[in-house]
Amino acid sequence: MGTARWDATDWSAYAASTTHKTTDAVFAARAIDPELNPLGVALRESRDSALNPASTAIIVGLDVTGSMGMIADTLARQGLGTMVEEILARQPVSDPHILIAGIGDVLYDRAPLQVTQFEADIRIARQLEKLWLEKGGGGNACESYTLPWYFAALHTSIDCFEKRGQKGYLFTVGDEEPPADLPAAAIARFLGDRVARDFDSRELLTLVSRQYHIFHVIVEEGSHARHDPHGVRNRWTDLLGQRVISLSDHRKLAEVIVSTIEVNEGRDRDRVIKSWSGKTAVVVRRAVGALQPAPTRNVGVVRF
Amino acid sequence: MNPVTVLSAEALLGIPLAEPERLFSGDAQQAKQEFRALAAIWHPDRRPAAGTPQVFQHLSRLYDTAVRKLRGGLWNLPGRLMVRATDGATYHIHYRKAREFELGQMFLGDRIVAYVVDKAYSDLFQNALEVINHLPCANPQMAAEIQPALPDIVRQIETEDSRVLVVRKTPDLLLLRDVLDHFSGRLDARHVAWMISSLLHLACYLDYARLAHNALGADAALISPPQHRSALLGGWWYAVRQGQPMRAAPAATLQYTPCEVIARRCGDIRTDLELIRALGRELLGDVTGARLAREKAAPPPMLDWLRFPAPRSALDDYHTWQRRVLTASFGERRFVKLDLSADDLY
Repeated sequence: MGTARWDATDWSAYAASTTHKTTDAVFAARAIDPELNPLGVALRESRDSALNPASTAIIVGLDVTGSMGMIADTLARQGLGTMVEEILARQPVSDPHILIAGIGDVLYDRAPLQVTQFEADIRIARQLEKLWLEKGGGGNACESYTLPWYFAALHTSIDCFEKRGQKGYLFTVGDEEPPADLPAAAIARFLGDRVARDFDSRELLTLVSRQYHIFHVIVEEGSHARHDPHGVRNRWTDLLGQRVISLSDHRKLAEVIVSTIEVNEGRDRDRVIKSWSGKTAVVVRRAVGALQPAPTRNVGVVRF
Repeated sequence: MNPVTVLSAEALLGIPLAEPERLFSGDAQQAKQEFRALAAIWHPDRRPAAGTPQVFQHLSRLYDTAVRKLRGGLWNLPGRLMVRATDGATYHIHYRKAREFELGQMFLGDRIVAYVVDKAYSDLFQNALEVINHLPCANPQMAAEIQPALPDIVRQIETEDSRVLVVRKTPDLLLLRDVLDHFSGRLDARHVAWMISSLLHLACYLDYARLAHNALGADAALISPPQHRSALLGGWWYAVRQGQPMRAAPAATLQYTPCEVIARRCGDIRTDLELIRALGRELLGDVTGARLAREKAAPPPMLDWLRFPAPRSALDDYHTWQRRVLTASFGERRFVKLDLSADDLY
């Protein structure tokens, strides 16, 4: 997938069509769409094509539990266009192929993972609106943010990495803590894989980090993050280190994702922040203010 | 003195700048005389014909490189490395193949491997010596079993620019990188399986010794096809005790090191276990592992093992591999012959 090219006109028309709709009207699904069901999916593929000759796989996993549906809603109305167009304009990576995932809780939800295809054009939005905002989750203080990690590690095939050794990007977005582990039973139930044991989150991070740069975006406006901001941040930082991004205004998710990619790819952090205007720059500064670029060398010796 | 004056302009220009050994003698005085003899012919003042300035410029650069190499103590003739130590001694190391690695060059002979390490990495060289010289064994039986898989230092030499570690090997041992190249980057899963078994056995020893090797890969490991065994002769520069701070690591290692180990930057056996998995995937033709399932490069249980994260214990990993993965992948165990020797590779 991902053979077409983004067209700003298509996006403008699509975004305009959502203006007077409620969230429930934009996201009309009341059960998981079979096209987004990861059960039995062998691979989601991001392939180079004539229009996207050097594709970069980008996965954005959105928490769709409780009130977190606001993230998907904002992305569908505004953020998606900003994200794709800014990546294309700024080119921190080439030819973005975007897969959107919906994230819930394997203990409480019927659809704790939903996955679109990797797409490069308006189909990203068309598939995004198929997400079922289940609004579930439970009282366990975490959501299954590591389920898309597992899926990305074992059920995606991306040319950026396989052909060019360039990692893709995986962002999870939500207000709760990371889970301690991912049970084998949940993997079997929701993905269909028979694995011999449970995996703890650190193992899954090691697994998915072979192919993807992993970031988690904490939605600070979310109820759980407001209730226990330090707890949420500390648990994510313990797992991901500096790759935990604070999002103080959910309407700026797209700008924060673009900026994170820019800094990770080695662009000057202050210049990236200053490239945005007014309040956006403030949000971006809070988000990427401590972020360091990824090591770029894959030959030679690294000294500690 | 080499018969340098008979060479044509084309022949002289065809000598790569990095290989002055193809023109000059490995002795500073003789090389000087040879350069003078060449200058007498090719200096533009002596022969103002078209093209001569380029020849003389090339000769001058070749001579500069020769002087630098001779001063540094290394003179590399085809199949023979001459090493001049700072104490004045000269050593001749016969080899079949030379390879670059991240700290310098390695020279593979039938009975030795010589690692030439740039002096900028002297601390890592010294670290290797200390680790290798203190590899523990519980008893003579264990020593008899494990020592053939570990480096046995024949000599270490210091030159002006480098430090050279010469370790013993048997003629049947082949560098895994050379084996992989011989098979165009892809081996049969049945052979990869016995190589992994052997490397996991080594990992169990490392765990027993409370060490993390940190560079277990195709440039460090050698295999013996007739005996189905491996030896870990290279890469000890980065070895540290488990839990102790790492000094350095090949960039390639960090691609596969568990994230929490990278964060703590301490020795951890899981790094070696992950590197064995990465090596297994590489031997099957795709170090990323992404294509292996699609291409059915190995039986599913083996692929799962290669792709899933390593546990915290080498022994647990070894037992899982031996008792579950191998049987589920290949059935009853049997010896699979790999008909390959040094003569096939070099």
